[in-house]
Amino acid sequence: MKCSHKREDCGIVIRFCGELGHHEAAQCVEYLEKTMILYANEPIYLDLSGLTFMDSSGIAVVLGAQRNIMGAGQSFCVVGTPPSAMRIFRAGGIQNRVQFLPKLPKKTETEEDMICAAKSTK
Amino acid sequence: MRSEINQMSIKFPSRSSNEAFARQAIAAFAAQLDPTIDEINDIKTAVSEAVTNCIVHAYRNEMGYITLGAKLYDTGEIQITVRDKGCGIPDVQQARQPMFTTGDAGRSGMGFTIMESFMDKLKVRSREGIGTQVTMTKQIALRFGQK
Repeated sequence: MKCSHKREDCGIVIRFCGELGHHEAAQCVEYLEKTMILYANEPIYLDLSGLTFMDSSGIAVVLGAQRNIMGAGQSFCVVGTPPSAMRIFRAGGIQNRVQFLPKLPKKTETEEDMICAAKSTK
Repeated sequence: MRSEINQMSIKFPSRSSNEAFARQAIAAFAAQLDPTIDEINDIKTAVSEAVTNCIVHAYRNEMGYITLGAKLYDTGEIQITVRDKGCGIPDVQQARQPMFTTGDAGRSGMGFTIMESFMDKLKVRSREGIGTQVTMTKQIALRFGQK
């Protein structure tokens, strides 16, 4: 399991790559907690697009992360969930308890307009 | 009447690092039935849940052995057994309820629910102090040209 994070326009994106089972869950939880503390007050996106396998341990990781992150007043969202992992979330009945997005949100038109406007005034 | 075409059995210690090994082993064995990627994923997920239960619950405070067995039938069926000699389950009916767990906060309590959802049949036999045996069956869809 490889955990990484980077800053995107929309917030902090944490990415898990590899297999997420019981053996890897503790490492993921620790990484999420550290990153959450490091970037307090910023929206957190959990990118699962790199997962090649996930079992019900992933449900506990995501629900635990949501509880901690939203409890600290930050926003939390899961993006790029592979279909095989989505079946686990559906079987667990948590697809309506967590916000799932197909991909990272892009900047809104207003934000892009403001950036373009700022550039043109230089 | 179905007849058995192959079988295997492996025994490994209840280390969490062996979960991935169990998943890969069952996937390699089940591949003889020419399953789809989705069918293989279902089998791997169910086995992962069963093996995790042995590690987290059956051998909670000790190291023990887990036996993973599988049989293939000419009807395209695979029967998988995951057996431990751990503490056993006091109430199997209760343990099979969604969200029920005696594990820590890191467990979702969805193990048996996932096994039931991803396999066709699930049977759990357990005796306290003796151990638990989970038997799961899945029918692999026969493709064109297969007997």
